[in-house]
Amino acid sequence: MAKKLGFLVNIERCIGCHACEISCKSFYQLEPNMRRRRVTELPEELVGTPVRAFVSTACNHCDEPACKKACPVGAYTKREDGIVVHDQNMCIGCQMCGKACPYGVPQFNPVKKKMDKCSMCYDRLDVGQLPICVEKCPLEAIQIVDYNEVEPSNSVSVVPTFADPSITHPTTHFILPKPGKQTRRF
Amino acid sequence: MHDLPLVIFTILSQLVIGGFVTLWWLDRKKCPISRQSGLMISISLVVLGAISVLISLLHLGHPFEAYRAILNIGVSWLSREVTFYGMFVGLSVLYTWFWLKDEAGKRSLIGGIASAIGVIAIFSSAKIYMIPAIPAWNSVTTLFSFFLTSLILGPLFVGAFLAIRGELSANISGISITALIAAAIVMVVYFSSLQGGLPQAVEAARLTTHQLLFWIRLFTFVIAFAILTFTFKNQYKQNNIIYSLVFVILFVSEFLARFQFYETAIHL
Ligand code: SF4
Ligand code: SF4
Repeated sequence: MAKKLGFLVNIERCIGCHACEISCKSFYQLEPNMRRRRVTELPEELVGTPVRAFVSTACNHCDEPACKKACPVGAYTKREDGIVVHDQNMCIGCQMCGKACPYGVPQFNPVKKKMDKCSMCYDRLDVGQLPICVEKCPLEAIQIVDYNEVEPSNSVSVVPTFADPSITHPTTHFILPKPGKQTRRF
Repeated sequence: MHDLPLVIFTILSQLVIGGFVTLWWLDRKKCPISRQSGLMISISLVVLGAISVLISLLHLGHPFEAYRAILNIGVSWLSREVTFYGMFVGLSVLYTWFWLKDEAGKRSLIGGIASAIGVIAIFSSAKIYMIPAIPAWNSVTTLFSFFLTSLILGPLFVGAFLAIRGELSANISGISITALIAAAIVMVVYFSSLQGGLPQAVEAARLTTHQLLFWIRLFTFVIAFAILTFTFKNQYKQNNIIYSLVFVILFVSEFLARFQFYETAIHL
């Protein structure tokens, strides 16, 4: 059976150090304001009791990618293993994919005048290496999972600030932090 | 503003298609239009069509590679828009040629085909924007408002042109007033659905109505409606000035509405 690769982001582990974001940016030599992965802070009331939580997101390599449907030149392909690849040589920079993606993932590169997005480092995966973000996270909070093989039971497919997954069926899953114990002082 | 080329492109292309269908229709209905007037209107529509295409290219990072934009016609509405609008402009050149040659039969046939393709182009254009990622756009009101822009501006453009040349023999006010009433209904439905929609839609409504542009849009819309209604009776007299004036007012009004459509679009 074909693979269905996706990110599994462990919010419980993430300390918000931005190493994934910056290592990716530096590896791909992105322009100053561009990011293929972003770390943002989540609302404190995420799991009932207040927690300080961060989430790292990139392209969700969706099952029904809106970017692919919108692109007039067919610059997007979904590989057998589920990775959604953007071909910059094809792109004419109309930015329609950025509008159509519910997660606003594709970003305009102001120098190349083309769009840019996470490729799940497929060329590294193809030679047995890990994506840069996965490799550089000091807490091993990002993994690549084949969701056709395992569906981690403790994971969820949506967190606050994440758009409705029924639109494009993103493959990214998240592990939520455990609610902390409330200590009441009298 | 980054989407300005798209504002101009959508307004101009809808005006051109509406004008084209009007000219074809009047000509077909045997309303007397001199060859010179037909040719002049037809040429001006071709020129406006070509300008709209050139302006739309400004929106691209790589305008010289725009020809590739038809490659994904199987799934992408943007590809379809580019293809059908391109075909429409091409056919309108041919249509102009038949005005020049004064061949009414061929003109009517090519005009009919081009009109149908123009309608598909507007449909494709609206479908580009009906995407869940932007709740304020993701509604059938987008489709209606794109067609109504065409219906509001197109007939008035041709009507004003013919009136200036003293050749207008059809009732343009009727269709314009009907289009304005329909547009007013769509506007009410649009804002109430935004208010009852997702937070991004509510925010889009708030942003729109808090800009002065919105009130100028409404004011010009109402003024144009009033002028057309009050002059409805004497539509065959002096309508060169009336139609030209109302066309300009409504062009500004539709332009502002479209500008706000892009400007206040909030992404999920
Ligand atoms: S997250 Fe956006 S860019 Fe990535 S595959 Fe899904 S729709 Fe496309
Ligand atoms: S910006 Fe490039 S990749 Fe995105 S829709 Fe346009 S042509 Fe396709």
